Amino acid sequence: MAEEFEARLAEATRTTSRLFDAIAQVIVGQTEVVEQTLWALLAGGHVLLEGAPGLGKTLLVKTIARCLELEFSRIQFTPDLMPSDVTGTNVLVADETGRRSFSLQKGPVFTQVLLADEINRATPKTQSALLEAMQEAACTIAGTRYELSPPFFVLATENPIEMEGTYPLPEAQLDRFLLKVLVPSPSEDEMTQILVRTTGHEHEAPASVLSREEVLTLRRLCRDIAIAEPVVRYAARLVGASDPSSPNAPEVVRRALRYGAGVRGAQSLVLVSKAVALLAGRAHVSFADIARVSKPVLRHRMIRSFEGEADGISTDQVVEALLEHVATRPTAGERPTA
Amino acid sequence: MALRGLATFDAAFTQRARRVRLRVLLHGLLGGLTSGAVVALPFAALAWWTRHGALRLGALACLAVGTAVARFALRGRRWSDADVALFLDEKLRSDEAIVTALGLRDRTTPPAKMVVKAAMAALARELPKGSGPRVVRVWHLLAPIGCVATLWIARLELPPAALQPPPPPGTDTVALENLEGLDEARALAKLAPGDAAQHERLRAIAERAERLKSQLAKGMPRREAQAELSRLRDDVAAERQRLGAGEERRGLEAALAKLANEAPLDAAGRALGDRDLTQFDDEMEKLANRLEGDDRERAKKTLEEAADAARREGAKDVAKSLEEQKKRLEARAEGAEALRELAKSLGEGLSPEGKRALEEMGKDGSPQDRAELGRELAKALEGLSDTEKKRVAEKLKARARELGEKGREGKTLEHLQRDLATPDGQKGLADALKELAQEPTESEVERRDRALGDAARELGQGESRLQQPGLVPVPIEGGSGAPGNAGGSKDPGRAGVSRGGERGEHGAGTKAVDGDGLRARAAAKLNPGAPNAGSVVGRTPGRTGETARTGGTGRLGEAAPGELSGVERSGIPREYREQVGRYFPAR
Repeated sequence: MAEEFEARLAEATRTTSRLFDAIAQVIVGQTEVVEQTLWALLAGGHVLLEGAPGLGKTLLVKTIARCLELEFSRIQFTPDLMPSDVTGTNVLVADETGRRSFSLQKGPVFTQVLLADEINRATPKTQSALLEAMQEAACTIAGTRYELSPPFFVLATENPIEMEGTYPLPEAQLDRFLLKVLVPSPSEDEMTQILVRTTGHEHEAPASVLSREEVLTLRRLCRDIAIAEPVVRYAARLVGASDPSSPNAPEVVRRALRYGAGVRGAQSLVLVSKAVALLAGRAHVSFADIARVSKPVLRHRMIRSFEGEADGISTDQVVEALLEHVATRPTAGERPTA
Repeated sequence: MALRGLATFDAAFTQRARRVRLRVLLHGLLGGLTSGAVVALPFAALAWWTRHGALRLGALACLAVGTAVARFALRGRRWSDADVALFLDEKLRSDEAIVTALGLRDRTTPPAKMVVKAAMAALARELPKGSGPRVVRVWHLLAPIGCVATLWIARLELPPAALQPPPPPGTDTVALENLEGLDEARALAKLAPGDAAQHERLRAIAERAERLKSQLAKGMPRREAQAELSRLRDDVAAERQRLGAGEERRGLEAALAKLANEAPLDAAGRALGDRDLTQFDDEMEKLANRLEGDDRERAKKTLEEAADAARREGAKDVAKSLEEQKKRLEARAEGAEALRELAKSLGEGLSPEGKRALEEMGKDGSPQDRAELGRELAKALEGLSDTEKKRVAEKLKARARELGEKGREGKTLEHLQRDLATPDGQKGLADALKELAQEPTESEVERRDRALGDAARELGQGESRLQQPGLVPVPIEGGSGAPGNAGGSKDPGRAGVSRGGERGEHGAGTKAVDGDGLRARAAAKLNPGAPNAGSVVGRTPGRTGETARTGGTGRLGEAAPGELSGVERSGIPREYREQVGRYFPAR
């Protein structure tokens, strides 16, 4: 059985590797973004992509959707977008006999991979309609609850530059996203390659690499990854230290944060770390996995204080301070260092 | 590699954990040992400095104590399995496979088996060299350094002891069962006192002597004992000198002036002036034995005048003492005269010893000669025949008739003659002669004076015994009494040296001292560590039983009793005494 599990892990590694290769045919660079997106896919969470316009966010999501052989929908959020535009609505239709009846017109949320483009441009009412679906993997239309087809995977994008006429997501709703991925600007080499690729003939669309069943299998496999109690404790201490009122909080946390990450943040740390271990072909989580995922997992779950904002302390800097402050082993100080 | 044969993860982990824990334990023990060595070094140095030589090696016990303390401290800090696993994961770079495998509740699931497999693979790897728990650290070098330094200190010679200042003289404790003079002072209370006040004084002296004797038996500071003994001796001496003191002094002076006018009473007067009644009595006895006829009568008259003068001046005790001496003079003179007449009557019947005693008694009046004469007379009478005894009796009868008109001597001779006439009388006469040969009985005043004198003398001896031997001056070479170097040095720059009592040769001169450099250094090593011999003497005993503080009780411009007739009692030639005495008229 161990060999079988090992083989499954190896297969998963190979599969994800193929997925990387397929995406890389379309997306130049952005390796970390792709990788972190896959973490969320395997962990069963949603991703908030934040980056300047033109960095390939939409293309990335489209490419992932195609490679996954999953149903794909896209919603371009605008201020006049209504919740029903997202979830769908009952419309009055007449049949051939002329008899009229209400029929459900499903919205774009009824899909498996949903691209919520510029989610912060919609009104909070519309945003909440999507966020309910993200949390419950279901939506209610006219009093009827409809389960969404798994794997329901939302990739929302956010433009941090154009803030005019936007409705920033409330912190409670941001917490619904498993990861917040920052899309960086491409380097010079990447930019060169992008220019070469996009100014010639169009390439063929990438082939599907992962079926729906394979995705669900990977998600189950991700849950099987073992994690030691000291590693879980490390994740808990890391999140606990992000609370400014905690005695273990570092000085920068007390100064720059108003609220720290909550229990959902700790759960996300462990879950995403398991995905990382899975992608690494390991059956267990390490301290390094926790540290590696801490930024995308925690950066949107911590609310900065006025002082933190005024001083320009980003949440990433806070996470770095936390990683530096919180020891992996609480009793390390009692032992001689090797 | 050693783990290759181990089948289970637990066995592999246990073996690796044991090695890790052993190294941690050794590190802790070595730390304790080093701490002990660090403590032992100053401990040994302190023991060396304070001259506790035996404690220096004992400082090494700090090593054992430090190790034991470390062992005790490590007992509560033993690494748990999770700690060891985390340590191994970190060093073997196994991504927490070992700690994950260790914490698995069910190792039968496929993921668990894979984790255990990964952990086994990690445990199979050797720790990179130097990445295990470090046993020895640089600061552990202090342990051998501390041990070597401690042993070196243990072999060092101890520093010289600091010179302790000598205790103040007399602060040591002295314990004596018997000390001279205390018993004599205690016996003073049994003497017949002259009056009630004297009785109280003598009783107080006796009580203090009793108390001092008790304290000395238990032990007391030498200085306090000396002080109390000195006070006792002073009080005894003062009591002895009380005759003629105070209000009676003028009477004593008047009596002494009378006695000074009679040459035979010269010595007796000096003794009375010294308030030495015993000596006074001795002198008077000699006088009684020596004087004959008119001289004796003049002496008695002078004594009577002196007693009257003393009584007039209010010195009743002095007058009483003089009157007693007058009576004793009469009795003694009567006896001496009888012996002398009996000896003359015997003529050649007296032995040569008797004749010599008779001659000596006439010269200096020695009581011993008188006793010798009495014994020889008794022997001579026993050897006489009845006829010879009758002839002696006749001679005595004739002599009695001859002296009968002159007084008591004649009656005495009549008694002798009658005694020789009968056998019973002869026996009684022999007994009387033997009785005459005996020492004369003392009066109460004399007995008290003698007892006080004995007590003062013995107390003086006791005081000398209490003195510390360290106070005896050390003889110095070349000093008086010790032989000096032969001849003076001829070397210029050195003074001549005395020969010890003789004059030294001082022909050499002293040149100017060259002060450029040190030429000599005094390096006296006399009694090293002890104080220089010397003492401060607060009194100057002139004679046993007296102190230098005796005088000085009178008013200015008046002579003290002891100073009266001082010219006569001095060594000034007789022909100059009158001239010198003008400067010291008696008042």
